[in-house]
Amino acid sequence: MLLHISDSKTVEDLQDHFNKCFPYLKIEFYKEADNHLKACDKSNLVSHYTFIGEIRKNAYSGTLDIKSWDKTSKVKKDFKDIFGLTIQVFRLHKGEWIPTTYSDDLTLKQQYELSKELVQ
Amino acid sequence: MIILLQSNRTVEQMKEDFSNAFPYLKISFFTKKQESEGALTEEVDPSAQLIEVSSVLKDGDTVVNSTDTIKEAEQKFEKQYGLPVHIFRKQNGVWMDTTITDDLTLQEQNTWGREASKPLKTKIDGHFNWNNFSLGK
Repeated sequence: MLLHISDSKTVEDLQDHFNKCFPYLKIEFYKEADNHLKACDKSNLVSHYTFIGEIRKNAYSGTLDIKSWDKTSKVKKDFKDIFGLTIQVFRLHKGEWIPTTYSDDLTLKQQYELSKELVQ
Repeated sequence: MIILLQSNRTVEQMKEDFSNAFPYLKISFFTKKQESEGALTEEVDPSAQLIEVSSVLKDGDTVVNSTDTIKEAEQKFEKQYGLPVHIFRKQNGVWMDTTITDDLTLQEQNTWGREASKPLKTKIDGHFNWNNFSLGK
């Protein structure tokens, strides 16, 4: 999928597009934190209508190419390294969204398949 | 199908070859803007020649089979020629992303696009009754 990222987009714009291409998965965005451990803390979670420009210092605009065979960890790293955005990927598991923290080595397709199996 | 990869051919000519073989699919070519393992890309100007957009281009034919999956076809272009590509499926006039269905073959995606683009068949019993038709006031 091709995800165009710029300061004028909202968090929801990016979430919707991602979710359309990867059903059963979602991404959440976080404010910049002092250290990595706090990075994906719930208190840093930003609302859906926040503009991307409000949550990063890096103002780079561009298109992120996300492939089904990309590892979850790579996608998170690309968001951070290229666009200065801290994100977490979540997978739908028995009706609940669970972070993929411990399964970041799986590809997005594998994450999708895991959730799909449980839904069907 | 065979796509001719020759340095003096343009991106547009390649796209046409692909569309002729798969009318409900579209291939787009991208460039890497940074060393980011293909993550950051922008679409190539269709009038650009292949030599301008690929650093590892060797003249020759690339065989893209209708039995190749979207993933295989995309990887073929990227690995062999350093040309990041993305394949889209046309459905009711809209280009759809194929990322999560990239394990389907080009032929299957093309058929999906064609079938999904067909107008819905509505069965009208007998002739249309114009007496029941009103544009309102």
